[in-house]
Amino acid sequence: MDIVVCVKRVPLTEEVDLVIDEQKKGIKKDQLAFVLNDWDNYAIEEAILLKEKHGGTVTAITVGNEDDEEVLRRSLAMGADRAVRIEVGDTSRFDSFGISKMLSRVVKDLPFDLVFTGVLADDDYCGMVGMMMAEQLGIDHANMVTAIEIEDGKARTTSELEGGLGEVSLIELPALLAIQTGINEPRYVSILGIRKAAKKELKIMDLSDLGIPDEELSPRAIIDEVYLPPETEGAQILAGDPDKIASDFVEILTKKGVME
Amino acid sequence: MHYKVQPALEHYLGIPGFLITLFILLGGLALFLYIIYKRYLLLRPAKPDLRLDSLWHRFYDLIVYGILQKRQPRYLWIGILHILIFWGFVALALRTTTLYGLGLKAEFVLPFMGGSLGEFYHLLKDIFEIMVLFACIAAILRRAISRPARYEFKHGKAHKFHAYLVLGLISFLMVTDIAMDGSGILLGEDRAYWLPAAQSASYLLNGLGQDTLKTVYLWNYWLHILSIMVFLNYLPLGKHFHIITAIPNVFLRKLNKGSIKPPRWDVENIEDLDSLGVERVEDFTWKHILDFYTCTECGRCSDNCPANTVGRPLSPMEVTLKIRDHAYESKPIFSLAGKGGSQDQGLPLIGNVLEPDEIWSCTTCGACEEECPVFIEYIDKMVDLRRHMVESAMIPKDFQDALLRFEKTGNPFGKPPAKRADWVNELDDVSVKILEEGDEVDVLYFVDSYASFDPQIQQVAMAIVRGLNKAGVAFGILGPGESDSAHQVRRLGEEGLFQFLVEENMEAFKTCSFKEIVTTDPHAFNTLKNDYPGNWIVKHYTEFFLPLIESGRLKPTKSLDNGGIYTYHDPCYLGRHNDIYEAPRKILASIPGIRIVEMERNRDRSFCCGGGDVNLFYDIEEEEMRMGEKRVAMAHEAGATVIVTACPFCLLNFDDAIKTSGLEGEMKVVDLMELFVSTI
Amino acid sequence: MSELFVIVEHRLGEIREITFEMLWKAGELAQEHSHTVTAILLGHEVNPIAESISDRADKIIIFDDERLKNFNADIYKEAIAGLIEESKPTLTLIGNTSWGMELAPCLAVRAGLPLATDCIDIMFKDDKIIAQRQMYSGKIFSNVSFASSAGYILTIRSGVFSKDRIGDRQAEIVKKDFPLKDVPLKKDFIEFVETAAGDIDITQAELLVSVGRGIGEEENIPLVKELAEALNGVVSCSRPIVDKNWLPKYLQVGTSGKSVSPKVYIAVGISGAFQHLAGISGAGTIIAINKDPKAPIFRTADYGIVDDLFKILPVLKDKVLETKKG
Repeated sequence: MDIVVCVKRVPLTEEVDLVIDEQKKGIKKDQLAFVLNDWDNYAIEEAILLKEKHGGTVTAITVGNEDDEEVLRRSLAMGADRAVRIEVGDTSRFDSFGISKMLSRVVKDLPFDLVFTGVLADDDYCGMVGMMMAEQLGIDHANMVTAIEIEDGKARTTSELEGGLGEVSLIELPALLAIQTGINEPRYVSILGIRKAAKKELKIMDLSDLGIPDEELSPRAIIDEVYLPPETEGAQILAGDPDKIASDFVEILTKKGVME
Repeated sequence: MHYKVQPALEHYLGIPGFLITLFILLGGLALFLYIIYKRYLLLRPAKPDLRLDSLWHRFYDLIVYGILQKRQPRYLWIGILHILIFWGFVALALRTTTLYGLGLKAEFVLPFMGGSLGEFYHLLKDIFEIMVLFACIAAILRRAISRPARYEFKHGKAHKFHAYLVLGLISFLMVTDIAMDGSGILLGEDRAYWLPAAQSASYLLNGLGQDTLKTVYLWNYWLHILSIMVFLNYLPLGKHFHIITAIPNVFLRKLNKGSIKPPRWDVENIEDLDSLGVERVEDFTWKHILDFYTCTECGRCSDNCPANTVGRPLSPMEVTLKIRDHAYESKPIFSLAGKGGSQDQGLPLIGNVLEPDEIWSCTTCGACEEECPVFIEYIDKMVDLRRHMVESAMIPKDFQDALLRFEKTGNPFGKPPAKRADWVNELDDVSVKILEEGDEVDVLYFVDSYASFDPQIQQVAMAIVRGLNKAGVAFGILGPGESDSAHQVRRLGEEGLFQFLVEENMEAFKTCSFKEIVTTDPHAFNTLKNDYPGNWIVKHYTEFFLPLIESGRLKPTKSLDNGGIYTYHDPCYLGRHNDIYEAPRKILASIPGIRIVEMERNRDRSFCCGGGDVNLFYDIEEEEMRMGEKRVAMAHEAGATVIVTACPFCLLNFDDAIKTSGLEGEMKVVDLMELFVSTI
Repeated sequence: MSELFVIVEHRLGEIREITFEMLWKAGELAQEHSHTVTAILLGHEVNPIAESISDRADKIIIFDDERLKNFNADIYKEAIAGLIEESKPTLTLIGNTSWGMELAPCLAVRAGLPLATDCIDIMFKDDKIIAQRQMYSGKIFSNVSFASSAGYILTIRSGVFSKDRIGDRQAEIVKKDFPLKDVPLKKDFIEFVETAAGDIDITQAELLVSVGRGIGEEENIPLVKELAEALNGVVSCSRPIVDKNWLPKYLQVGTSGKSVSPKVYIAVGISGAFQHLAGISGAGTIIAINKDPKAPIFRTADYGIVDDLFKILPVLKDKVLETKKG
């Protein structure tokens, strides 16, 4: 059972006040801490669990620069056998489409039964790379996977749908699965574990190794500008009689898309 | 004195007495050596430990704690009983030797013991024998009638049989020797002094014929020297092994309280290790295994353990005994096959012998180590077990998130390091210097994470800063350059992360120069002083401010007149681990108009608030009440309305506990510095 | 005059609300920029669904076939790609739902069109399409434009647009033959399952109604549970509630509990202690209900109701149920 897992290093933004950079196309990242994207953490863990159950290998792969190797080392420390980094200089030149093309190009040459990606990345929240790769690789796929079982060359997956519903499917391998959080409990890796994982194989490839013509990687979706959401002065207090308050309350919930 | 009966010269079935003695003596010793060898085999594969430093200190402690048994009277009456039995035993050693001698050679006498010294000793031994006999009987009755709760086990049944057996054996030894002496008197042995025990025995034996008396004498003799060999060989089989191992165990005790041992004493770089921490018994150091041998099953540790008291799965004594029994089972004395594990290795402890929550329940408060009369260590073992659990990912998810936040942001909240000194901006009356490269100050104020980010504890930091300012101290803080002291991280078992954070802080310390470090919290104080490499002067704020208060540089001007009754709670890492009990009390007492009461459990018997490590990130499910609630109840019982503490975690835990105990309005908790500064 | 495609999402015979929302926005764009709205409906025996949107689109293209009984991204992709090639719509809107997120990227690659996901608004700026979306858990907004192309695909976030009808339309129904007679189904639909309510993972919940000490007594917790049920949300709590053993530990939010990131977090009777707030820093919208106007939670919450929770909770619950029925 050979599994390739695509991982991404994203900034930790929970407690931080984000600052827009000078070009207004991104945020200032120099003061931020970076972690393995939460969804990818679950994906790696799931791959390791399947490897422990069925044997085989797990390869972790990312597009990024030297700093991004941190997430590969973490993946190796969790139990991946080898890692690949695709060096492309400034990653912000590429959009999800370009990233997926690069990843597919490399994955195509690896032996694999399954490709895992996280459903989303914590920074851009696009959720496109996985399914694009599936299409580019011409393999079957499932999204928002919360359970996987392998039986006779097929994967029985449960995908998370809205409202507490799940969808069970039987998919032929090789396949690509976008992994949803909560599918498992990712194991802890200690600092010592990560230091020791540095001994495992980490291959570096660059754009020239991929042989994709530049035009094919040019972004199809471009960020024009980013900006902060409009300021709020603490909580907006809902006023009026109970009925009015209740109406406002329901309106807010509707706007947030949780009134289904 | 001379003896009327010579066991060495008797004949039994043609075999002369001295041969029988020889046989008993050599046979007994040979068996004993074999048993000791088997016990040694468990120590052999164990990890190294460095225990031969500070020899004078060790000898001194040996006398105070080993011979004078200073810790015994912490439980007063039984402590006294034990001291009597122990000293009795020591005193009777000469008698025992003499008795064996008499079995080998008629009229055997030890050097110097021929004349009046010997006679005097004979009196002494007689009195001691009464003392020991009565002490043993008292101990047996106490066990049987008042059944002290701390002898019971939480899980399984305690081996009380052994206690009765040994007390019985000792009593038997006393009785046989007294009977010997008693019949000896009736047989015409004359002594320089009137021997109370022997005389009493002789009254009981009065009326028996000379031949019968001789038989009585000899029976008691042979039974006695046989029983001693039985006793000796019985020792290593159970808790009475401590009779042999306690003295070395006390001598080899851990001298540097508060610090945590490195993963391996003989390996500097943890990356070179295949595994970290303790998985199986042989991963412990030999001293820790000696600890297991030495447990007397007295239960004092568990009796004082706050985790045990609030119903958590942890009972320190049982942890020790379970590991001990498992170790004995895996390398038994009298059979070839080990039960559990191979001949070479024990089983992994977690899951087979111990449960994870037992280990996570410990708050490292040190109450167990403070009580143990034979100086068994617990904290290092807990940390070693946790180290293994961390490396094998056997840790609760809540820890993982906290540890990741420590790693990425240098604080457990995940707050950006750049904001670490933002609290300084809320101070309009004092300006705080954030140290930059090359700055020189007298005092580096190490704020640490909670005081930097938690609004409640920021108030404590502000009070400290006001105090420093008022006293005219030249101080500064590291601000964003400061990382968490990593005290919790190390005690949670994440040694790699601890080393990483230590390195970060060491780098920050190098950039400026200072004479001493003052900390907000006892945990940071403890680790900077005891765990970090380098030797600065590190003080907790109480130690630092006391001289300033005593010299008048800081003077309270307002008096407290609010009718509150104050009590001081000793934080574990200030009190027990670092012996700082009086400085905070003096600071408190310096406040005019303050009314202070002392809780029953104070100073080294203080009761942990719930802790500032595991407690922050993971809640043990199995628990009857929170430690904080228990302690608040103690304060309430002592008549206090305000609990004063010098540790931020105590502050937070008590604040919570007061609310959940329903005592909000009746009681409150305040930090010592905040209180003091409010009176300046 | 070009078309705006809207892919109809439906499940178990019922149309999903996102469809109405997309049709509304498409309708708005159509009015402003002279397009027509074409709904694409794939399924089996879907006439009732077509009925329900007949006044919201100019055209409804229906593929009605047994093989379309269950959603399959590959099949939808092939069918829609064919339509896109034929009609070259300016925009194709798909719901940013579990199914939509599977379909859209595959379709984008298959049809060779640019894609932006999770859009919360669509704007035309000098003939260019700009999609507005969020990044970094909603902390940053971004405007995305596209490389010049014959058409663009956007997935739309639920609940952002109105579900109302816009404009006056009468859809032309076009039934088409399902073109892919021989597409092998590599993925078999097995069944739908309901997730058990037993061991709840609050970190996965979309909506949390969280109860704090303000609830007073254990007997009052059902008030909170009722509101949660009405909203299809999950009950969580702060530390003191767990301490009292009123709710199990796995429902605790905070530093020594769980960190949650729901779309909406309703804090009932929670003061907003630092340790609790740490657990909700990832929450989307926080609505706090507390009778103390100075409670710290109001500094962090987005919306606040300063009232006695015992009085206001039942009113909120009733309103929610009323709205859902209507």
